[in-house]
Amino acid sequence: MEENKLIDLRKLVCPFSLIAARKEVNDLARGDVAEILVADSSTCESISTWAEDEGNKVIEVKKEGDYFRIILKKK
Amino acid sequence: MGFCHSMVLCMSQNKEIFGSEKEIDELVSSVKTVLREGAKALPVEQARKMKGYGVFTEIIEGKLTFGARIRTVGGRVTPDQLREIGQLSRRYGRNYVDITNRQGFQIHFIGVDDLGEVLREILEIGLTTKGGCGDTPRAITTCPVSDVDKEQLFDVTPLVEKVNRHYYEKWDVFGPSAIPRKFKVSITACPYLCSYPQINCVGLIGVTNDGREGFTVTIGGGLSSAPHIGKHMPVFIEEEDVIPFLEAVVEIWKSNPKYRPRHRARIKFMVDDYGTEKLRRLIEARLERKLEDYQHFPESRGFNNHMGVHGQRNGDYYIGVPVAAGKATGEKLISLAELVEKYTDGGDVRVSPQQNLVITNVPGENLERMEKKLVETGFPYNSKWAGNIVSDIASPFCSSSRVKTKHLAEKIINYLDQVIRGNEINVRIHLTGCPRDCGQHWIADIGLQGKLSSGRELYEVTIGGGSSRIGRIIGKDVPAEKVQYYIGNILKAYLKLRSYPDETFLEFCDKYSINQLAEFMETGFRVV
Ligand code: SF4
Repeated sequence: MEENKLIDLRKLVCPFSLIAARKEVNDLARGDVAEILVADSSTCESISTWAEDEGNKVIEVKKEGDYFRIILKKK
Repeated sequence: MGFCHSMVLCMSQNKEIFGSEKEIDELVSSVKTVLREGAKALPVEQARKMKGYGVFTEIIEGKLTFGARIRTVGGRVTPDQLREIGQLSRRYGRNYVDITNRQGFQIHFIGVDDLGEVLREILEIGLTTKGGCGDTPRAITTCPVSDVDKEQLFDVTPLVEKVNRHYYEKWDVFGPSAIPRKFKVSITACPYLCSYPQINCVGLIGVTNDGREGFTVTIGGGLSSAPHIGKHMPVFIEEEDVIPFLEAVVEIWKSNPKYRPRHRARIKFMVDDYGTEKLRRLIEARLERKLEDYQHFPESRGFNNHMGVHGQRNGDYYIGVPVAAGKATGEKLISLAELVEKYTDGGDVRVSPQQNLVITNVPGENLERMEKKLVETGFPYNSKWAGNIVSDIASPFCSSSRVKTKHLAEKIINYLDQVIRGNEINVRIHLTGCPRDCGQHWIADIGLQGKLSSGRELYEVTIGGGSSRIGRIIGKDVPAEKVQYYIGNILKAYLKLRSYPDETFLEFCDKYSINQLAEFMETGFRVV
């Protein structure tokens, strides 16, 4: 069954955030959905760009108060 | 002993404050932990301690690699340091080095297993990556020839070194866990303001007041998607008061919770809210004294990137060496270090804010040979345009953009070197890959901001920016393959239509409307 995983990276900073996102997303199974929370726009961009480059589907990127939520589907 | 050497010594005397092996080991082991076990394995406190260490994740061809940004003090490096940077890039970074517009170096392609070694070697040669990125007090920009050039009002390099050292000594006040966002300062007494003080949070511009040397202030500058030119705070500050002044600004900034959310945290927004007068009163209250008035703002005398050969105060010469869009190789840096050792009188190398290099202390009798050798090193010494073009890093190293600005910059240089010749054209072109504007396109004569849209690289073109003004947008969605021709067109129009031979490109642009300029850009070859 497809999983929906929350990955909260708001307390992490560069260079750890992208490494962590990559590790967590790579551990998911095909079709799983990840919701990644990050604290700033540049981390948000790096993670969504990387995720797309890897062939995952970025479903939504939204700003929620002082953080960002990236919703993606693992390829 | 020349200034550069004493500055390097200053750094190596007390290495620990500029970064330590312990910090590097912790950083690398934390990276490995997260790589292996994910986010939860890294305690938040541990991650926080390593903020702003000048290390970037760069996913290249699907592989996780790292970039390391090396800070300098005032852009100065000894030949030994330059050689080491070159060697590091050859060993760990595919022989590639970026020269940055905050007067540092960036090495890429570093594998996780080499990261610790690279960072340790950088420390060992008296340089550091600590404070190279993130919410830190960034490298202080300054004129690369402030100590040797004849036209400087006075030498600011000792002050740059002092303030830089102070940042590290007071990391609890200025460091990444203490300040809300990055803090950028420029200190200069260059009549051309070549380090662009007005795009910094605080710019200190050298002036004299009743025969005393000191600084007047510009405050609240910054580019990005909300570009601001710093405002003149009409005060006069003597050298010994600079650090208390900067501390007061930082304390005021930190004390207001309004400037904690990241998107409002830059000093420029605080200056918008307070205005310079109120801010001055707040600073005076912190300092518990009045600041001296200084009404005159020392405008830049024009653009000067210090390229080519110039006489020094001591009778020697300095030579500005263009680096096309800041792209260098380790090999070229090593060759340059050798030339400096061989043909200068204890000279060194400086990184300029335009991503070029400057060699100092060349005796007159070695000039000709040095120039000949410079051509042989492969630096574009004879290019008219290479020294005038600045570009951000963008793709593939920066994941905020998918456009290849540096690649386009090289194409523009090659094209303009063929079609627009003549030394009288002093036009700066800046490229940037996303609205964060690391390439400072807003203040360029011709600025380009790229984006990728449905697989196509498109650029927004701005025109008429300067060290104290933001350019106007004259073109949207110009395809990358057309950019060089558009720039060629408008430059040809400028050459043909300027009212007198000394009319600057800025003056030319001011005579025309946006539509007319856009027309020149698209059809310039027909106009002329
Ligand atoms: S301007 Fe954007 S794309 Fe370019 S280096 Fe800065 S963050 Fe990256």
